[in-house]
Amino acid sequence: MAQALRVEDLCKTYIVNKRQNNVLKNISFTIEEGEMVAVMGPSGSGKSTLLYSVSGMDRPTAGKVYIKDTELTGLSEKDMANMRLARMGFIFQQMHMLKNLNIMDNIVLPAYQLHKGKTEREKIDSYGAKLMRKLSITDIAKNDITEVSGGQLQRACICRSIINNPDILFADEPTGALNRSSSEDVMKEMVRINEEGTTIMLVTHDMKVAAKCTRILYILDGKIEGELTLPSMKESSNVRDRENQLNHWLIDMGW
Amino acid sequence: MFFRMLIKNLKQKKSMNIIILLFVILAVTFIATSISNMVAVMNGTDYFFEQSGLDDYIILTLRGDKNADTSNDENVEKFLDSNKWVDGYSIDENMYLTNKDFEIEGREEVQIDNTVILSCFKINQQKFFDSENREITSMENGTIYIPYSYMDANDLKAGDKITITDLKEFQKEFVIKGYFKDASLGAEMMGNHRCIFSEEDFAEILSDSSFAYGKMYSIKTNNLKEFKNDYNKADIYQIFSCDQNTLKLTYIMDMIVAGVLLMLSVCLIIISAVMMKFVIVFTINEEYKEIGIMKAIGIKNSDIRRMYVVKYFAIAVVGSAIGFAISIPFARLLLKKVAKNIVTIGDKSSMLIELAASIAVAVIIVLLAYGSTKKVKKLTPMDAIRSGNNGERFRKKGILKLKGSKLKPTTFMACTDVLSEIRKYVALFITGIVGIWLLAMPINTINTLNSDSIAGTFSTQSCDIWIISDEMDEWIITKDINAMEEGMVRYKNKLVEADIPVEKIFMEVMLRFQITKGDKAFNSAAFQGIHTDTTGYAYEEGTAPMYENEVALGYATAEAIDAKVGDTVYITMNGEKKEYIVSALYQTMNNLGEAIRFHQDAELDNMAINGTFGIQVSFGDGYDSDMKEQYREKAASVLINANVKSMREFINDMIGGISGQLDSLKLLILVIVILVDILVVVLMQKMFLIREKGTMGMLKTMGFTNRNVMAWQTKRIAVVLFAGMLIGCITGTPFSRITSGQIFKIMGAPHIEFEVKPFEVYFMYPLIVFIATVIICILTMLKVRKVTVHDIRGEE
Repeated sequence: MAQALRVEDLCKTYIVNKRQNNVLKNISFTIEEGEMVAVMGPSGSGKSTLLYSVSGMDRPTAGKVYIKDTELTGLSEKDMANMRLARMGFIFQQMHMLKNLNIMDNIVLPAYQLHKGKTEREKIDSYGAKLMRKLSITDIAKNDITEVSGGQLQRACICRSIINNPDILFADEPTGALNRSSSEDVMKEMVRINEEGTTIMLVTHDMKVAAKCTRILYILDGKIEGELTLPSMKESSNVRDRENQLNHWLIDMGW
Repeated sequence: MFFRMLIKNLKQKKSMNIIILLFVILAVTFIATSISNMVAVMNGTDYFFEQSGLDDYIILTLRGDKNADTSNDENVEKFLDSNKWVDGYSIDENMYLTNKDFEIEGREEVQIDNTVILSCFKINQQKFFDSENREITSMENGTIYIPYSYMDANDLKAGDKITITDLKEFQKEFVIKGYFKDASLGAEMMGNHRCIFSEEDFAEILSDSSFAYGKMYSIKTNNLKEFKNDYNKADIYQIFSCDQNTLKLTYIMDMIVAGVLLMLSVCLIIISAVMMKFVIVFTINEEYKEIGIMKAIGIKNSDIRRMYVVKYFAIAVVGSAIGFAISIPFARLLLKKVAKNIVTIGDKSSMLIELAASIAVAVIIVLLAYGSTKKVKKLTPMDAIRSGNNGERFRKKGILKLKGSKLKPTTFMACTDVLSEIRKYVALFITGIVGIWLLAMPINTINTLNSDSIAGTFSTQSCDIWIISDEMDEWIITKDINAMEEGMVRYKNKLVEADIPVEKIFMEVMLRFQITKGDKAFNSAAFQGIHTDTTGYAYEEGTAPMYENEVALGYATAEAIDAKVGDTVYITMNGEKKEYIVSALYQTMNNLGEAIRFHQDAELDNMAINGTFGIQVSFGDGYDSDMKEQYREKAASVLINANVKSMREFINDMIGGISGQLDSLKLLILVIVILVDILVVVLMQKMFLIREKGTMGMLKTMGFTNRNVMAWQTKRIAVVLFAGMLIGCITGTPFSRITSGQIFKIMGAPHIEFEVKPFEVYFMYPLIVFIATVIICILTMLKVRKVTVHDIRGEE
C-alpha cells in the first residue's frame, strides 16, 4: 500500500524564556493510505505539536514530512495553503466555524475556494448536501452555527474537512468537547470516512476514540515510545475487545 | 486583589487597551478642537465687533481734498445733531488712495484693486488688532499696518517696505509691521480696505499730501431701525454707510471658510462619538469570558462593573490628557485658516474650552463604560464555559447564501459579515458619508464661484476679459459718461488693431439712489450697463425692464422696502422722486443683494455714479479657454497701463480671494478626511485582528492563504467604505446646497445654481480617499501573516 504520510527525523524546538525546549525529538514514522492512526500520550508529551508539524501548520525545526510524494517543509506559504486546501482536512476540538455563514455555507466554503467554475460549484453544492445526508445533518443545513448542538456542529466540521476529498484528514481531539453520545456519533462517522478510503491521523486522550483506529502511536517526551496495531473495524468490530487490548498496551506504556 | 486583577487586565489585554486609548485620544483631540473652533467661529464676528468697540452705524464721506466743499459733511453732522434716535457720534478723518499711490521696490505695480482708506491707528470709531489678536495701542513712526489681503496679493511680509506718494509733493517710505484686523473695513468682501499709521505719520500725510479726504462718522443710536429709515429718507450723499449687522454680514465670505471648519468639527464629533461607543461596547463584549469566570468564582456584579469602570477611567484620564495636549496646536492650526481677518476668542479662553471638552469626553467615556457594563448582569458563567455561545440567540445572522453564489468566497464572506453585523460597521459607514460631504461642500462652492454663470449673480453679464485702469477712477470722479464711451471705443480699437476679437464691449456703472415704497425708504446700490441690454441679465422673478419706467430689484433692496414684482416704487434723482414699476427681482452678490437695474435707455442722475467694475470684453463663440487666455495675455501686453483679468480672476477679486482660501482648505480637508478614514479603519482592523484571530487561524488551516484572509478583511472594509462614500456622493450636492447655499442666500443669491463637476467631486477625490484608506487597510492586515493555527485556541 502506498504511503499517505512519511515523517523523517522530525524535530521541533521552542525557545521559552531563553531556554530551549525540544518538544519533538527525531521522530520518524509513516502512515499508509487508508490507515486511521491515533496519537496518544500524556499532556505535554508533544501530541498536538506533532500533528501540527506533520500537517504543515507549524514549521518543524528539522526533519522532513511527505504527504504522498510532496515534501512539505520546503513549500512556500502559498503552496502550503494550497496543499491544505486541496489535499488535507482538519478537525479541531472546538468546532470553529464562520459565525455569519450557515452550516451548509460553512461546509462548502473550502470547495468554493478551490473551485471557481459555475459547473463545479453546482457539483460542490450537491456533494455538500450528500455529505450532510451521510452524516445525518441535512435538517440543519440552513441553520445558524449557534442553533445546533455540539455533536451536530462537529459533524458539520467533518463534512467541511472532507469536502475537497483530502488525501489525509488530521484531527486534534475531535471528540474532546462532546458528550459521550455525540462523541460516539462523530467517531462512527470518522470510521466510515476512513473505511471509504480517507487516511486519518488524530490526536486523542480518549481510549474509546483511539480504540476505533487501526494503529496507535504512543508519544512521550517528544519521542514515539510505542506503536500498537489493531485490526480494522470491519475486521474486528467488537469494541470491548479492542478497548481491552488498547488498555493493556497503554498500561504497559506507562499511561 | 481587585487592583492586582486590574493591573493584570491592563497588561494582558495590552493591544485592546492601547486601541481604546488611541480612540480616546482621537476623540478628545477632535472634540476639543472642534468645540473650541465652533465657539470661536460662532462667536467670531460678535466677539470681534465687541472687542473692536464698533458703534451701531457708520457713514463715510469723500471730498476732492480736505479744503474742498465741506457742505456735505456739514449736512451729515446737521442730520446727526438733530436726529432724535442718535445718542452720540464720533468723527475720524480718512485719506483715500488708489493703487497708483503705492510703490513697492522691485514691483511694476501694486495689486490693490479698489480705493484704499488711510487712517491713524488711534481713532474714535474702533480699536484695531494685530495678527496675534493683540490690540494695537502704539505705532512707531515710519511703520504701516496693511490688510492681510494686500500682504497676500503682493506677497509681502513684515519688514518689507512700501512707499506712499501722491506723485506731487508727498512721498514717504514705510516699513510694514504686518497685517492687522479691522472690524469695519477688514472683511474680504469689503471693497475698500484700510491701512493705518502712527498719529504723527498720519498727521503728516494729512497736511502734506494731496490725497482725497473724507470723514468717517460712527454713530450710537437708541433705535437703529428708525434711525436708518430717517437717514435713508434724508438722502444725504455719502460713499458708504452701513449698520453693524450688515457689516457683520460682509464677513460672510470669511465665514464660508469658518463654516467649512464648523461642518468639519460637527462631523468629527459625530465620528468620534460613534467610534467611542463602538469601541467600548466591542471591548466589553470581548471580555465575556473573563466576566463569566469572575462570576463563576463568586465576584459580585457591582465589583466586576467597578473594575471595568476603573479601567476605563484610567484610560479616559490618560487619553484625555494626551488628546487635550494635541488639540491645542491642532485647533490653532485649523483656526488660523479663518482668523486672518477676525479676532477670535483668546488662547486662554479656547484652552479652557478645550480643557472642558477633554474633561467632558473623559466623563462621557466613563459613563458610557458604566452603561455598557450593564451587560455584565446578563453574562453568566456559562458564557465563559461555552465561549460566549449560550445558545439563546435565535435570530438568523447570515443573510446571503454562498450556495449558488457567483461571488468569490472572500467577497462573499466580506459581504455576509457586513450584512450580518451592520452595527459593527456603522462608524466606518458614517465616516465614508461624512468624508464625502466634507469634500463636496468646499469643492462645489469653489466650482460654483469659478463657474462662468457666476457673473450673472454679480450684477453683470458674462465676458472673457475685464479691463481695469486708473483712468476709470477719473471717469467715476468726473462722472463723465461720454468719457466712458470714448474710452471704450479707444480700448476696442486697440484690441482690434492687435487682432484680438471683440464681439461685444460693455461696462457696468455703479450708482446709489434712495428708493421708497410707501413709508419705507432705502439707500440702495444701482447698476446701469453701457452697451448692454437689460434682457441680457438673469432674473429670478418677472421679466427684464422693457420700458424706461421699469426697474428690476435685487432681493435685499426689494426686501428693505417690501416690494414685489408689479409694485410701484419711487427713486430720488436730482432731488426729484421718479415713479418706477418693479418688473423683476434678481439675485446679486454685490452689496449682499442690494441692487436696482434700470432699463438701458433710462435717464439717470450721473452725479450718483460712484464706481465701475471696469470694461468687459466678449470675444464671441468658438474660442476655448486656452485661446481666451492667449488673447487675455495679448490684451495685457497691448493695454500697458491697464490691468487685464480673466472673468474668473475678476470674480475672485470681488469675493475677496475666497476661492484661493477654500482651495487651500480643500487640501487640508482632503488630508483630514484621509487621516480620519485611515485612523478609523486601522483601529477597527486592529480590533478585528485581535477578535478574529481564531477565525483567521481556522481559515488558514482550511487552506486559505494570507492573501485570501487579507482579501476577506480588506473587502469588508472596502465594501462598507464604498457604500458610505456612495451615499455621500448621492447626498453630497443636496448637502452642499443646504450648507453653502445658505451662505449664498445671505450674500444675496438665494437661488444659486451649484456648478457640480461630478468627475472631480464624486470620482477623483473619493477615489483618492478610497485608495489611500484601502492601501493602509492592507498594510494593517499584513499582521495576518503572523496568525497561526495556535491562534484558533486563544485570542491575545
